Amino acid sequence: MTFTKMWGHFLAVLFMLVSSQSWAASCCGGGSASSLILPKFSQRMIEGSFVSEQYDGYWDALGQWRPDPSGSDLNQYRFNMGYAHRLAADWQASISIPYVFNDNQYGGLDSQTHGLGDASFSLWYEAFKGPMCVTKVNKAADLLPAAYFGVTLLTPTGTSPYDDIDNNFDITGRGMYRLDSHVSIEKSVGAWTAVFKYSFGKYFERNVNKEYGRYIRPYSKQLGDRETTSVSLGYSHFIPSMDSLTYTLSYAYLTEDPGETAGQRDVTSQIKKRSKSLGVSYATLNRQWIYKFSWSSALNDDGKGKNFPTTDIYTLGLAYVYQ
Amino acid sequence: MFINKINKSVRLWLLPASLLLSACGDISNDLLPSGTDARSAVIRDTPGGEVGQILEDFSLLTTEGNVLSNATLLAAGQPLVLYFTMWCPICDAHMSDYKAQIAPDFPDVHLVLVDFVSGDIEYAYSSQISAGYRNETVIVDDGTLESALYGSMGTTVVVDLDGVIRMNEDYKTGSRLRSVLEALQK
Repeated sequence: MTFTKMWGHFLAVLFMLVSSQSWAASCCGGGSASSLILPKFSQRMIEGSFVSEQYDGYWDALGQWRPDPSGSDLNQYRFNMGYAHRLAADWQASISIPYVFNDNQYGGLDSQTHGLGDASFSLWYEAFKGPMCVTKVNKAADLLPAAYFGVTLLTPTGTSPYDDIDNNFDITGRGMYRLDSHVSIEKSVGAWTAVFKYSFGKYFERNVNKEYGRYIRPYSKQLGDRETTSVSLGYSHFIPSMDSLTYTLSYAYLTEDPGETAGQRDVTSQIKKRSKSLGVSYATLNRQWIYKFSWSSALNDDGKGKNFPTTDIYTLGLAYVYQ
Repeated sequence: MFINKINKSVRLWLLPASLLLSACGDISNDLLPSGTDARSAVIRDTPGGEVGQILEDFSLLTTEGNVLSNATLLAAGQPLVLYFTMWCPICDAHMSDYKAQIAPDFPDVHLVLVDFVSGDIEYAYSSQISAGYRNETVIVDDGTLESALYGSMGTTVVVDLDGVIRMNEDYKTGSRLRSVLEALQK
């Protein structure tokens, strides 16, 4: 290994470790990283992304959308570092670590904080042996999709209300372990790709004896089951260099059931969110470099969510795939 | 051979993982949650913000421009409930739950919202209106109550007619608030 390569690896590891100091989000938490999926036959992938999330109102407990106070400016920025590794022909694992920056102007409060977000560890199984994309459908077998099944453990490495924090704007994570199971079904025919994704997450119950840096009467807390469903449609085309451009439109629905606090059903923790997104990705001919940009926007109309902020999320990402 | 490969992989992951966890000293309360009651002992009937202590006198402006003090609020002859809000979805969920589930059973209890983030009357009033709480009494806290009662988002404080704090904790499900108010009615 050359000195340059060693130095590069050292910097990569260092960056991931420093990221673990990262930070945070809005008053309502956040900071989780998205999952990574390695292309079939590829061995490893490193992905870095920058996310800008801009808050613009919220849905109240009745599902009515309400604006933020005039003059407020609530933002969260996240650097996500991810690494995916092939374990076997059909198995892969990944780790994703976000570092979060909160930048909030709210009334008399001007707050800038940063810290590690909630890190996630995933394991995926690919239920197919080769390329499942076809140029056109000639027989029934051509309709078979590529299916992925996965699990993700979300770990509370972020800063939550149950840590030593000064105010609500320091929050970068939920403070809970959560185990998600995923299914992702993809089918590409010609230039078109349709994807269906579903995740079901179960939070682990935990004890709480501290809130906002103050010791309190201990109690148990468990957030409700979390479900995320999304559908997307993508269109790809090749440019003269044979690099490819893909445009994707998505619709997602997120819910969290009422949780349990001190053994009592907690309806105040229930959340719902509907959002749409538009993405563009650019991949080089050899599929080693992938550039991504996406914009996701909550549907800020009455009845499209509940107990949740409405935000616009801009993501700029770069992935390098080791074949 | 296979075992050696796995051992090597595990070691590769364990090193950064342990370094990562050691770098997260201030979040260990989440990684390894504790259910131990670590609260300090409280000297009851002394001025302070903990349960059993006496709420210190305060005099603050409301979003209507009126001056409110604890003496004024308790003169109505009913317990006082203070709720610390920053007009966010969680605060709204708590207040909606209070209005629907608790307020009907305690119609004379005076609920006062404490805006501890806005800092000035105009801004606090704007927040109050956009959040849909036009009819509530809102105190514009200048840090006095936040400091005296360790207030943060969702902190709910109940003060009895003698000025003694009977509850000071997050709203959670509202069941603790209900039981404290029921006890005060007896």
